[in-house]
Amino acid sequence: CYTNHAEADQNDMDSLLTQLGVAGVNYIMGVPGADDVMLNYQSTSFHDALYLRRVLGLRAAPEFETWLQLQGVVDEVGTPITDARLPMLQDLRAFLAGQTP
Amino acid sequence: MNTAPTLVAIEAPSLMQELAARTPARVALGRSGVSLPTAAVLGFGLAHAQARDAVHAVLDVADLRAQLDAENRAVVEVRSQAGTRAAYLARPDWGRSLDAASRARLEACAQGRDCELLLVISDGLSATAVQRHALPLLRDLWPRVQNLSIAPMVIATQARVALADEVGECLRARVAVSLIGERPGLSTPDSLGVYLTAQPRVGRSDAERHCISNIHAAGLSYASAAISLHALIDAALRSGRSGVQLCPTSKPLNIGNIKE
Repeated sequence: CYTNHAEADQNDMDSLLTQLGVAGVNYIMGVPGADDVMLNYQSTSFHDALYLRRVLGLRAAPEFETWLQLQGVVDEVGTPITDARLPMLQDLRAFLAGQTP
Repeated sequence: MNTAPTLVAIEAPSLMQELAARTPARVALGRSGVSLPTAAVLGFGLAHAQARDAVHAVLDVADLRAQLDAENRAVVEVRSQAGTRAAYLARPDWGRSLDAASRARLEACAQGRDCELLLVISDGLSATAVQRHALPLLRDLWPRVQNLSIAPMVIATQARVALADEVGECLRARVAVSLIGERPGLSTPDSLGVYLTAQPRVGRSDAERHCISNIHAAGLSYASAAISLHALIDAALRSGRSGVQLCPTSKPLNIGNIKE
């Protein structure tokens, strides 16, 4: 991650991410669209994690991938599902509307 | 003829886009393959450029001074030992010490008297935050602390949080409060933070301070921040402490959005 008063940008994140992946790192931190809106700095995005797995031919941790499949986020080989009808989105919408699930 | 396959960005489901309106976070961006779509990448680049510019914005001290004069508040201007913004960014330690002229000015101003509360308006990492939010917050705070002896208002440039320790020591304040610009993010260039230190003196650590963070239009309101700050000032004056010493158990002070 990097702040806006440091000499860094998202190109540096791409380089660093790829180097770390090749070096065998097995966990990276992600935030939506690489923008941490609470802490006011930037990191890598969930998209970046998918890129890294794809370019290195890796899958998610087995228990995480099983959970993603149960939630309807990815298919049986770990590819994101294009038109996901995600039950958790319905639950979230109901929660925001003040309804108990 | 060998043509590359055409990749069209996949949009996020409409329900996700609907929920995305509830947050400034960059969710429901869709994807191109498994990567960010071009529009998201370009939007991020623009936001980054704007945030980088915000770090270098200069505090309009004259404007703040004029507003404080209009409220009949005495003002003293000080600066740190960081002579430029570049120096300020590279040397945080310089931003924590007063330059010689500022120190002399404050010592002359103190005239041997103590005071209970010192309020320092500090540019920090976002002059924009301070320009926008410091005075409105103070206007909400002043009526709540009118029974306290308050030092002259201090406007500090190229200032880090700890500069208020030295200012407080010079002005013999029992509690020092720094209203300071927090680092600009991509979505929030104007987040104001408030740091409170009891018995300020050079060498205080961050564990000895309280912080109220994220005061801006999409964050904490002036009223909420003023209420929390007032409660902290009272607690600090009564106990002589701030930071982890003020909350020795994990039970939080029930006064709103406080970080220790």
